[in-house]
Amino acid sequence: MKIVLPNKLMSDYSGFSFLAKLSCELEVAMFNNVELSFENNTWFEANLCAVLGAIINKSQGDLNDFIFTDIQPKQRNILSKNHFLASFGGVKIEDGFNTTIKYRKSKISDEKLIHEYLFRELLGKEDFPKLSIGLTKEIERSIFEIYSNAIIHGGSENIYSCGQHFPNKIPARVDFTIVNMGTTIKENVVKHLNTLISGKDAIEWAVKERNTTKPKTENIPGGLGLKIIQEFAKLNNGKIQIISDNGYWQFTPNGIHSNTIPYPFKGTIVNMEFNLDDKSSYFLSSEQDQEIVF
Amino acid sequence: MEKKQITIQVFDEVGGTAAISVDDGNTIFKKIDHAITNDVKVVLSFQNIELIITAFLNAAIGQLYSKYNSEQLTTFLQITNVRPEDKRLFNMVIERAKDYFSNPASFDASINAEMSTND
Repeated sequence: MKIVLPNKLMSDYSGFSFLAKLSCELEVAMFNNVELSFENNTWFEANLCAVLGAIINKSQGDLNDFIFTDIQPKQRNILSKNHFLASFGGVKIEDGFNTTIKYRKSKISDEKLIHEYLFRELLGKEDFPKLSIGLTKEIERSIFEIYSNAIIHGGSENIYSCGQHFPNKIPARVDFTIVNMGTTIKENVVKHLNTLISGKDAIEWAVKERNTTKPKTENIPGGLGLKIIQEFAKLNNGKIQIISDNGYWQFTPNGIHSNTIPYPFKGTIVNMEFNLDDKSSYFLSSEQDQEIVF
Repeated sequence: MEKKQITIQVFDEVGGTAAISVDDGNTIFKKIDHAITNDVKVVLSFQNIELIITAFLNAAIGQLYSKYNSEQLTTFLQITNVRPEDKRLFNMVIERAKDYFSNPASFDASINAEMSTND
């Protein structure tokens, strides 16, 4: 079985649709040797390693074997630096420019190790631009809100993450992607509301403040994490994309765009894009005076 | 007679500077609940905590509203050493919990109404 990656694999509707289609094609494969060919690929956004790794890992569970062929030197270099290829039998090399954020497969019980990984790979890196404490903290919080959502709602054993720093883009940005191959948002929402809805509508429901699919029996409220992230993305001029089942949802300060993707993704992908040229302090004086009121 | 008082150090409970785990939040909730049930006041200190997320706070603080009201929590719980920029997060979680436990059934009713108008 040979699968050819597209010329450009980017964190956009087309890129995520391709990856969802790939996951569907592999779902029916068993005992196959799968060749993932990069022969046409000239651009691969490395944060998408989180998605590709999650798909491959799931398929390996069906006893499929994978090889990567015709990887062009530039892509091979990046995928070796971020340890993606090393996770599948390739080599790892040092990242002299420190622009990669390593591919990682984490157990859901590794929450605290994920914190260390994030510091080592992103916010604590020497070459990482010096950000305001407020911005650093909001980036960190956003990422952990998503990890936490994946742990609480995904129900899968592993969480996959990877990022990429784009220092030469204007504005400079970091993309960070988190993937779980567990219960989709649609499955959770349909079960919770006992109503049939599309993948797109399910994501739209889940991102609204107050909405949560946590069972009432747990007595723990929810439905705030995604609101906070959206607020931050708006201030930061960043971006959030969520892909789950056949739903595609994107938030930018210009508005929300949602769509249906042709093939369902049996899990959830969250990609966050942070604007590193943001000089906002994120500490509003009025908030500093706030007291905690029960 | 003055009530007995204990202090819970979040740093110690979570084993570091990041309050990110729902399990840790649950453990803290149980300790606070145990104290209040026994008429003991709790000081919950966030000294040295650098990162807090809503999932942790929902479990540790928000969950208290399933058993106690604002007046009881004002009497029995004191939250200290929270960084100024994090206070808003606490208030959001508290407001959300009050809303949630005041009438949980209304959430699903309003949600279902909303979904059916979108059909």
